[in-house]
Amino acid sequence: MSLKDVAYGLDSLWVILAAILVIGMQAGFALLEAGSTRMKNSGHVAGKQLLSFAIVSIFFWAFGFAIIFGDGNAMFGTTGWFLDAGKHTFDSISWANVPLSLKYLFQMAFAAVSLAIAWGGFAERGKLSVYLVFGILFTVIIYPVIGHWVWGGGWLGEMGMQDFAGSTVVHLQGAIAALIGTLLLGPRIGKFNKNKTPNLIPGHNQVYSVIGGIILWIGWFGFNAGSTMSTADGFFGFVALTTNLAAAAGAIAAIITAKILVGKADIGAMINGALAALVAITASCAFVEAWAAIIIGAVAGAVTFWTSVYFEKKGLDDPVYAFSVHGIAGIIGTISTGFFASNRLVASAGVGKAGLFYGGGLHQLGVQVLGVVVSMIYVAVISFIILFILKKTIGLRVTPEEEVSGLDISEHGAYGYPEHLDPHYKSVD
Amino acid sequence: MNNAFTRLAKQIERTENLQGLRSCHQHIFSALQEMYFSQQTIVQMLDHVNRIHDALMKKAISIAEQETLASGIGTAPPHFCVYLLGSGARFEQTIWTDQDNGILYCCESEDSYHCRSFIGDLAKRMTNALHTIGYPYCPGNVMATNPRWSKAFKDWLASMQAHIQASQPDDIRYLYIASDLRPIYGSTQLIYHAQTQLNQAIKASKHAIKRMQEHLEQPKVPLGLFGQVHKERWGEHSGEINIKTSLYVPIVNSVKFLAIQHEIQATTTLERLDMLKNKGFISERVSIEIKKAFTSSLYFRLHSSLGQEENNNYLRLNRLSSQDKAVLKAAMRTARHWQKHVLNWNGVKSYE
Repeated sequence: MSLKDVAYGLDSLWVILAAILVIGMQAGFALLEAGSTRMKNSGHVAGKQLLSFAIVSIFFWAFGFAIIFGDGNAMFGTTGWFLDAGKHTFDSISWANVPLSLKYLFQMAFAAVSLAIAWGGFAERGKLSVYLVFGILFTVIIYPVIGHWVWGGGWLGEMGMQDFAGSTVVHLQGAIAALIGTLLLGPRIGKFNKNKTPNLIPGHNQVYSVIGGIILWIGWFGFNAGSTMSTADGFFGFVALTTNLAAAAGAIAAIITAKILVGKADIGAMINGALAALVAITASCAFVEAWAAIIIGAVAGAVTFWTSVYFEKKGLDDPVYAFSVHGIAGIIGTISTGFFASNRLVASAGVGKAGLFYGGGLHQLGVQVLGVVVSMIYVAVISFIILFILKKTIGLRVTPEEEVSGLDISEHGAYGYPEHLDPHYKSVD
Repeated sequence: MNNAFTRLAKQIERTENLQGLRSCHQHIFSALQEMYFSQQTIVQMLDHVNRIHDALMKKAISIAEQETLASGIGTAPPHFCVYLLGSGARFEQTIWTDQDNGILYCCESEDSYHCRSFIGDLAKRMTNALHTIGYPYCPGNVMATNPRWSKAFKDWLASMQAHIQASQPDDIRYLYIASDLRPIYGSTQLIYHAQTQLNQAIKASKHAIKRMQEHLEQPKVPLGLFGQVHKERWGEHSGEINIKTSLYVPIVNSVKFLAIQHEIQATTTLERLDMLKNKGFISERVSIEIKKAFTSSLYFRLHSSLGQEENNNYLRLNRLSSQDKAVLKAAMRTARHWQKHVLNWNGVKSYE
């Protein structure tokens, strides 16, 4: 066995491990979202995560991967459907020295995360059929297009946009879809009073939410460090370091911000602070030094707590604060490399230029801002068109009666917690 | 007394039925509005309001007692006293106030059953009458119909002793409630004896004193690290602050705790502060500072009660003038400082 074969084997092992970690994040989302919503919707909220992952698995294999990484033009890939590879079909990802099947598995896990984020905005009132239809269309015509622009040889990548593991490609996209979804769906029954003041709709299990947050944190090592897709120089260790430092800073900054702003050391704020920091460091983890990762994480954790309170005050019912945690933090993270990208790390990664604080001027910052703005516009417009058509045809939202009964019983016929909720429940022991 | 309140007091004197008293109660609002723009201080205004409340309650209780006597249920005890608790006891009620009351009595041992029947009937009729004339039932059930607050004198003292012994959170809460007693109808001496003995019993228990001091931790004055006011985040009062729990209660409870610790019999917060100053526990400067913050809390409580026809205690900060906002923040700062000080104070050395 040659050294090349050993490297191929190690890289492949690393990527499948990373893919498993990222796929494991589905469990994190299921717990986080179910814990943050009510008991009557818990089975639905957790269960739809499996449905969502299944949809992405098939449609990303058939179309999504080809649109991102297939040979095509600056806007989207046009070859490689059903993972059918010619000699140069997937040149844009040929830098990864692993089998195509693993490239698919790893990238599919990213698309599944993006869609999981989008569902946050639909929580507790979206129709199951909408999950199916929008899930397919998101996987085929929304997510991979931005993916191609940045990672698949598209025009943003050519400009040197730095988004190492997807603050924009994965998180901002999901968050914008969540925002459009929550705007078109409207607030949950009882969220706002007649005088427009918001009510607290507490999640049914804070422990689930915390465990979900921890699973996501662990999964992020696959997400960011795994995005090196290589073990060659051990650089994945540095990426894991920046990722972990940012998350820690985000959790601490968020709980302190919550204490300062609302007087309570809010547990939900701390979970979301860690996640926001992870979202923010996703773009910059390979481009910034450890100290900068702490700043980026802390800023994301603090700012997104404030925005989640602000948007709620302004009448936005985003049940798990998906837009703040993944959207605002995605913007912060993507733009952060425009300030913090260091010469050393940019040279190593070979993407874009150094940031403002390293003498790179405004160029990289401009590219990052442009990337964020166009991605937001594209996802917002296409998501709006799809969801608006769905709203006018099959409808986005369950009936008020179904919403009050809970989606577990109305959409699936059984409660997640029958002993607590089912009036006809009979114990058989 | 101000003209509007003088007229109201005379009207209450002449009134002999509950409907008439209800009408008088409704006039407190307009009388206070009339006075609000006069030169009277907030303490004077509240004094007028509380005298009217007293007069209304006395009349309603008297009507209830007549009804009980006429019904022939039980036998009136030789000594009984209806007392007020809470802000009524402290003479600090605003316009809209619910009931906080109880009855202490001494029955002849051979006629205990009939005596208790009388008190039970009086309690029902009295709380219903008060409800009819404009004093809602207490949501926390601190009322004469609750056996906890209507007891024979000896039983009452025994129950307080049990609370002192146990000193669990609810026991401490009951001790704080019971530490505001003011007789309003009947044998006032019973209440004075009760208060004296309760104070002595609490003071004799170091554990109870310590637990009562710890109890002062809540409710916290909602001021942030940089002096910003933490408003309600959720619910119909989102964006507002509860002036009662945010400013008034922290001051009242801290002062009340010191009054208990030093066996001060006064029931109003201002009198308690004077006594603490006179006995040398706080300096003149501190007394003035806390009185100022406390008076501000009364002003804002009155302000919030004038804004609506129910007692919700909430203030929307962005509707206050910049001067009022500054006064409120200054009072909250003082209250927070004072609350923290009392929480950590051994209460012996004078606070300068």
